[in-house]
Amino acid sequence: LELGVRFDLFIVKEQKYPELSSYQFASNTPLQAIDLDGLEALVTTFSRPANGTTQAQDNLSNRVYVKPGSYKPVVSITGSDALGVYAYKGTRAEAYLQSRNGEAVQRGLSAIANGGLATSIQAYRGASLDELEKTSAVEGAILFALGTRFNSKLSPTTNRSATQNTELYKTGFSNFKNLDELQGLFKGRDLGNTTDDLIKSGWTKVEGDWGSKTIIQKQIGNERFYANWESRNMEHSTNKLPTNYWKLTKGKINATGDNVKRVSDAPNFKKSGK
Amino acid sequence: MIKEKIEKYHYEEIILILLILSTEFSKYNEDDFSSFSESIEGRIEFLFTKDFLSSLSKDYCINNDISLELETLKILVIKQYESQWIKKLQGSSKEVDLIRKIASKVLEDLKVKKIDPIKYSEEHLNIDW
Repeated sequence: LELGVRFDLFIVKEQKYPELSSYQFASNTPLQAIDLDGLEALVTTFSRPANGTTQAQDNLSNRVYVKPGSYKPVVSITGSDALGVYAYKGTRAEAYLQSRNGEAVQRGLSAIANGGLATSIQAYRGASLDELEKTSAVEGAILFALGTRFNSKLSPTTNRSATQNTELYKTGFSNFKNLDELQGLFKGRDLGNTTDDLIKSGWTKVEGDWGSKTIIQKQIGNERFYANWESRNMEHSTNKLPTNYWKLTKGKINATGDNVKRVSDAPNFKKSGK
Repeated sequence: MIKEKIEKYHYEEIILILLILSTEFSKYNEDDFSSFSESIEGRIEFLFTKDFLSSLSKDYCINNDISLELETLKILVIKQYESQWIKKLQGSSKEVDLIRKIASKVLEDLKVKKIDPIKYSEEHLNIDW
């Protein structure tokens, strides 16, 4: 019955894809594509543009998900849209998990992901999260599942790995080495609602009496980074607009010169951040 | 221990603000002005209040008189707030001269030698975690 539904649905798409049979699966590209509903193949492609980011884009929503400063696999897909979940070992993709519209799909196929070799493709969401257990058998694989990061059925190791990495990559404020990369992670976000994401990424609030400011810190290697939310109701001195912004510093809260970057979504905000 | 370190940092913030307010601005550039305004805006409103100053350890020698002068400074500075307000401190006016005068006097009372605020910030405003 389920198969009948699949192929009935595809009839609707026949005009768009006259070259495809109603009985095809994943547009005849089962190695590259996911086919959840018998309609259109869902293909996620990866690229590494010259700007140092990694991008993932699916062909149906055309949404582009960008992870700055890295060419490891990237996941930034949330909500009920395509859900991408990756497991990787070093720069080599070990697994690629994907589901769509709340439906879990598991595929044990090979794929090319992000210029590296993906050894398996699996998809999880909700109840299918326990499948993570199987994938975790891949030695050294790091798993993370967006939105469904903890499951009592999983082993502590898998849970820990899934939880930690989900949060790290979902919020994206841990994977940086310097101020420039940190500044890049702030861009394009709702800056006024970033504090929670920083905390989830392992940043901690600096104790003290900071008045209207919020100061958050994180140690990366030997360096300590600070994010200082400058919430203003008045015009900023470097700008003619009332401006809220993040002041990012390295080494000290009140660092100066090259150890300061500023990020704002105000259109005329000073771009250099210095 | 951390609490004391943070308290010391807040005290150093107060000194930094006083140094900025008492300094001639002619040798500073736009980036310095940004840092100066960030050190003052949002901080002076909180640090230069009787409640906060009275919570500081007695070791910092902020007595009632100094506390009152700091409150006065706060009011005078906040009155200056507008776009590019920090640049007003470059020039001379009745209010700016008064701000500079009070800030210098408080530094004297606290026996803090006047130095370049940027140098002070680099040398003192650091939390030794």
